[in-house]
Amino acid sequence: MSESETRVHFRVMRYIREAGLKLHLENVPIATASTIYHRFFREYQLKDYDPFLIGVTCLSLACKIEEQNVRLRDIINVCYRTLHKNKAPLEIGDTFWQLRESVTQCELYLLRALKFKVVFDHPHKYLCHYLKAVSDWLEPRHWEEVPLGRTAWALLCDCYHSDLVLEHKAQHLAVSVLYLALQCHGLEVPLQRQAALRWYQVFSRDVSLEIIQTIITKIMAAYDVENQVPR
Amino acid sequence: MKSSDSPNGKLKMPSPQLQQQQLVVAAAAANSPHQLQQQLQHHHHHHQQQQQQSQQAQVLQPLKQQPQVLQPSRQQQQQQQQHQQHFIQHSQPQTQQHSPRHLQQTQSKCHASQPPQQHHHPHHQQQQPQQQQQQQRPQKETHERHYEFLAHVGSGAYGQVFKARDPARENVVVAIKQIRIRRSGRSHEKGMPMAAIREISLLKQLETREHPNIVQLLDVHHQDISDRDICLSLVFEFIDQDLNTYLERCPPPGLGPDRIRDLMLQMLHGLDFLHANRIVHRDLKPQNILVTRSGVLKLADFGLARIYASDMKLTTVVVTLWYRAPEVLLTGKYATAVDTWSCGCIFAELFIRRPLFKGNSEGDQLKKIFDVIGLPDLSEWPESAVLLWNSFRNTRPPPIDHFVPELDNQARDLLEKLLVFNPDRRIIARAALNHPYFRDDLESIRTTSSLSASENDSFSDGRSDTPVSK
Repeated sequence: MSESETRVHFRVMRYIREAGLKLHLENVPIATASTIYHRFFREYQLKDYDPFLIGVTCLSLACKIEEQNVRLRDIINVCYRTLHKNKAPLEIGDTFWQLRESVTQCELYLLRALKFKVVFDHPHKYLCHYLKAVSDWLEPRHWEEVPLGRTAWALLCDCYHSDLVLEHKAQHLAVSVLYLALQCHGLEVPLQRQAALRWYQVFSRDVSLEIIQTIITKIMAAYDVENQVPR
Repeated sequence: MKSSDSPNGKLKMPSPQLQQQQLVVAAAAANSPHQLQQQLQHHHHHHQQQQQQSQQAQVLQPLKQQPQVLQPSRQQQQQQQQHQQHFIQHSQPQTQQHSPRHLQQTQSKCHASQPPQQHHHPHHQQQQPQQQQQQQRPQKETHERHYEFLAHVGSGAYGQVFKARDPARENVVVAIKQIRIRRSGRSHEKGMPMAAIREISLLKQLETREHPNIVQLLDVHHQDISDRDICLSLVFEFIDQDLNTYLERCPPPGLGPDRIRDLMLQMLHGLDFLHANRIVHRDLKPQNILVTRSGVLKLADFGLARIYASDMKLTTVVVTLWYRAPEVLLTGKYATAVDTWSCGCIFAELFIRRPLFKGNSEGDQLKKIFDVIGLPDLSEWPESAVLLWNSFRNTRPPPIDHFVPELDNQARDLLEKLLVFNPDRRIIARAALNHPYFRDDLESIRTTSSLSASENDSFSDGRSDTPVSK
C-alpha cells in the first residue's frame, strides 16, 4: 500500500469514527465498520472506489450486523454533515435520495464482495476481561489513580485507523494495547520475577513479546500517519 | 425472478460476468460520460457474444431435456445499462452545481446496481488488464458460476427451491433456495434487512467447519429485483430425501431401535453444533431433516426462519405447529430450547411414524401437548403468556408409553427430558448427547439399517409397558 493510500484510509477511518460517535454508536459497531472497510480495501483498489461512500456504507452495514437500530436517513445526514462541514445540512431532495440509493446499492455490493463474511471477533471483549484481571493484580492505589482502562481502550479504538486489525488475532491485539497502556503509565504487573508465566501469557498462551512488539510498532506507525494528515 | 419476464423463458440468475463488467463501467463512469458511452457499447457487444456463446453451448450439450442456463436475459442487461446511463446523465449537472468531488464520485460511482460475483483476483476490477481479461476469459469463465437448471423441487412459504447442476464444480447437484425478501414498509428502510444479514453471516461462518450433520451452504447470491424486493439465492448441497419421506418409505414394522438411536444421535450432534455457533434452528421438523442414501442425517434450513419470519405474516401459507415448543406458542419467545423440544417430537415420531402432537391451531396444539405431558404447575406458567393457565384442563395424563409404545427405559427417559414444559429445565443438546440412551453400544449403532429384525428387541426388554410413576 502506498503512503498516500495509507493516508486516505486513515482519513476515512477518522471520518467513520467521527460520524459513528455523532450517531451515538458504541465502539464495537464502529470497529465492525472499520474492519469491513479494511477487508474491502485489502482486496479492491482504492482508485476504483470512492472511499467515503464505502465508509458510510460500512457504517450502515455495521449497524445492521451489530443490531443497532439506526436509521439510514440519520446515517446519511450525519455523514453528509461530517464530510461537508461548511455546508447547510442535507435537505430531503434529489441529492438525499441519490445518496440513499448509493448506500443501499453499495451495501449489497459490499456483502457480496465480502461473501457475507461480516461477523468478526473483536478484541474489545477480551480487553475488558484482561482489564478486570489486571485491576486485581495492581495495587489499588495505582488502579484508582491511573486511567489505565481508558488509555488501553483509547489505544484499541485507535488501532482501527490502520489495517493492522486484520493481521492479528483479537486476543493478541487486546494484550498488546494493554501492554502499551501499562508502559505509557509506567506501571508494571507486580511479581513478574516470581511468576512462571509472563502476565500476557496468562491471557493468551500463544502470544510472545515479539508479537506484542510487532503490534505496538504498527500502532505507533499509525500515530505517525496522524501527524501527516491535517485535521 | 419470474421466468416469464425474460423473452426466451430462461431463468435469471445473477451472472458474474455481467456484474463485473458493470462494476468496471461504474468505476469508469467517474471519468467522463463520453468514455462511459464507449465502454457501454463495448460491453454490450461483448454481452451479445457471450450470450451467443452460451446459447451455443446449450445446444451442444447432449441432454435429453433442454437445460436452462441460469443467466440474465439480454433484455434485462439492456435495461440495467440504460438505467445506468440515464442515472449518470441525470446526475451530471447537479454534481457540478453543488457537490464537491466526494459527492460527485459518490453519485456516479455507486451505481453498480449489481454487485459482482466475488472472484479471487482483485485485478478483475481494474481497467487496464481488461484487454487481457477478455482474451483469457472465453471458455472457462463463461461456464463458471452458471447453474444448470434441472427441476423445480418445491415452493414453500418463503420461496422456491430448484435443483440445479453446477458445471464449475464437476456437475455437483445443488439445491438453490430462492427467498424473496420484502423490505419492510413500516420504516421504509432500504437495503438488506438486518435479520437476513445476521443469519447469513452466521451460516457463512460455519462454512469453514464442515459438520457431517449440517447441510452445507455453498454459495449466496443476491439480486435486487424491484424497489421493494431482494432475491436471495442460497445454494446448498442437494439431498433428495427428507426424514418425512424416509419414514413414509419405511415398511410397516417401522425403524429398528438401533436405527432410531443412530438418527437421534446424528440429529443431536447437528443441533449441538448449531447451538454452539449461536444458531437457533427455530423450525426443526422432519421436512427439514435430510437423510442421504448412506443414512447420514443432515439438518437443513436452519436460521432461515428468522429471515422470512416477517414475510410469513403476510402469506396465508399454513405453517405447521406440530413441532413448536409450548413457550413459542404461549409467548412467541425463541431460544435454543425450542429446538430440543422439536427434537423430542421427532424422536417420538421415529417410533410411532406419525406426528406426536397434531394440533390444528395454537390452542389445540397446546391442549394436545398437555394431554401427553400434563398441565404444568401454575408457577411455571410464563407471565407473558397469551393464554390463561386455567383455560386448559388439568388432568393427570397416562404415562408416555401410552402414546409412544416400544420405548425402552433409556429412550423414555430421554424423551421425557426433551419434552419438558419449562425451557430452562429442558435438556440441552450437549447434555442429551451424553444421555445413557446413547451409551449402550455406540460401536454398533452406525452399522445397522435393520428394519424388522430388531423389532423384537425393544420388547425383549420386557419393561416397555411398565407404568412410570410420576
